[in-house]
Amino acid sequence: MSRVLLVPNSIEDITKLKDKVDGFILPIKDLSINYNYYIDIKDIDKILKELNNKDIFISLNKNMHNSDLPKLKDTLLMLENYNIKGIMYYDISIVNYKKELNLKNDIVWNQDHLVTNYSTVNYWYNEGSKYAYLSSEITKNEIIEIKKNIKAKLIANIFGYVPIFTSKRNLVNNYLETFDKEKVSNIYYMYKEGIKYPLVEEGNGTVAYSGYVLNAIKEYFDLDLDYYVINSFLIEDIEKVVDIFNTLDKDNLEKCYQKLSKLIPNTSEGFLYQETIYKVKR
Amino acid sequence: MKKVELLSPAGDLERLKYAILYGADAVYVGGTVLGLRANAINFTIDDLKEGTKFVHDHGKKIYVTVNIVLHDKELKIVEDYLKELDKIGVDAIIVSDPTIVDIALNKTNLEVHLSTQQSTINYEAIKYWENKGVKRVVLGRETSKEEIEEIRKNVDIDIECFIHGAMCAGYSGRCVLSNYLTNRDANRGGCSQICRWDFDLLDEFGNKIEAEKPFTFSSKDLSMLKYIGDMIDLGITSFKIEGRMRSIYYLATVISVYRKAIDDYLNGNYEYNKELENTLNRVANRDSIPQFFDSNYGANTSYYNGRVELSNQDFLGVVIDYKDGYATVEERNYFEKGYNVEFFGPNIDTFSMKIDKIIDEDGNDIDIVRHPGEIVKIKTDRKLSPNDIMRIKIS
Repeated sequence: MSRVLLVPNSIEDITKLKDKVDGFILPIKDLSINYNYYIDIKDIDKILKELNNKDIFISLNKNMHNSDLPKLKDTLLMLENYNIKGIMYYDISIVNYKKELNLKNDIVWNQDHLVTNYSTVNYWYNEGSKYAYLSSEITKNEIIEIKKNIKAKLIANIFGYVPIFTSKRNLVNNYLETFDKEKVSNIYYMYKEGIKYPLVEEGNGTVAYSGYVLNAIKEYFDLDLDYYVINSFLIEDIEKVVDIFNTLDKDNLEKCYQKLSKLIPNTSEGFLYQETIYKVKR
Repeated sequence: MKKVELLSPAGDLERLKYAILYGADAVYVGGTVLGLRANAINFTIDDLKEGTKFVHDHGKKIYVTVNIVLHDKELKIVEDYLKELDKIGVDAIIVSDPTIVDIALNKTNLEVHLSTQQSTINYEAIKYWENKGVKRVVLGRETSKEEIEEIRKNVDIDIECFIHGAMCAGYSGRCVLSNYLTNRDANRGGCSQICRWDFDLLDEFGNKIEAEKPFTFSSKDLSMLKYIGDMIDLGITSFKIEGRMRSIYYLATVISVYRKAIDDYLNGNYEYNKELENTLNRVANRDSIPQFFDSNYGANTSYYNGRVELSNQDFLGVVIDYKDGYATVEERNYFEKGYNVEFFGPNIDTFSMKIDKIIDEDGNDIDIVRHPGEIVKIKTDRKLSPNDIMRIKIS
């Protein structure tokens, strides 16, 4: 039976929705990126106690610089004291720390767009990653093929905006500064041919999101993955979205899909049925 | 004396030969499969054999990029392809996907270099790869001088850094703008360079921000000429030039400049000078700066002047022979009698002269050479050799 994780937008989301989802992905300030809400490591004890019976994944998915390593190491050691499902990583330093420090917490291979084949899922599984968080740029058939050939548990995005670009540069600020404009918010949009792509710029750089909200609910039962992720970033009424998922069963799949499409008009099934190309015909 | 490798891209055999002749210590090339420049000409197996022989005959090295992010359907060809590369005798492969690392290390004798696509920017991550048997890591371009220094202190592995060329706007591997805007897979060689596109920038309420130029992610290019001594002193193993799709003229120019800078520094007489920088600028598409190396990656690193990829008119011709005071030149861009030109090449000091006499293939005196590929003879003051290049006088 698949379980649903929420990427919260705020502490209020956590409090309000903790009884409606199976668990949360919790990003830690200064060690995570691509989120709109980060938890100070000092507050983690209180939050985890409040979420005692939930499936908790801690996201430490930033590209780590040398200067991040002391805090990263301390955080990994501190998290050994808590009952969490796993630690999501992008940077391979975390795999090395798991080995060097003999850490007991499971880790989750979460290299955004690189989680695209079963062989590499198995590679990281053998290196201690008991979970893999699939790329959102692969097809349904590829996901099925991966699932058939692995032992790791799988996590995939099912609803929400998808991060599609991460930079260390402050690209919005660079632009505004160059043309003598004031930066008044962390959220902007880049706009092209009728599509708005959200841009978030905070301390660790710039993130661009998909121009649509991924809605893969139709594949919930067919794919039958271990965890599905709902990302609440920029979703105004996330509670209604969660409520729809909570009413989901095999008989009302289409109805739930329609309800979500009505609630959030700007949705897409992403790459589930559309393979990307890389060799351009001349 | 420290050994430093100058590593050049080569999009095809001709460019490979020019790169080696103009002073590269090693070249990196892509095969027809599993590389990240799917739309370049690339090297067939026969090309790889010929290229490897040429490179080795000159005492240099060749690395093959196998840096695609694999999907299931590509898995079946990996092992055979790596074994073929092993048999050809290439010196290393540049890899991003751990499946390929694993197969290369366990089923072939290939040396493995970790691609910048993994955005490796700290010593703990490098330790992981070092323990696995990877011989070299290409650092993420986001590393500063101080960070490289700290990495160098903590690991023994070879370190490769980019020194020149275009920059990704985001962390390598962490950008799929191309997938979402054009359905072309950025991590499988289909990148359509969305970071160079123009966009409107809207505020959080959807209002367009009016400015003189449109919004873009575009970054200026990288040039490390000013810091070449610092980089050598840091103990970086290999200095990499970006651009497998660049022309022979670009490669010859950039390699010549860095070859001279590196050799001069190692011989104790390097002095950064504007003349060399100016030579690099003449073949550049954009302004070039040190990017993250000096930790100054603010507004000055962004580039808002649109796509400037005009055909470079400086490149006038290639010397294919020399006899009796005349260079036989194959034309690449228009030139005429009276032009002030420069010749540069692997075995000559760059010199300039005015064209006084041009003779066509039938032995007639002519004033203008206007057709690309046209073969003419030019009277020169000094002896030249095949593969020397004639350009418009720069300074």
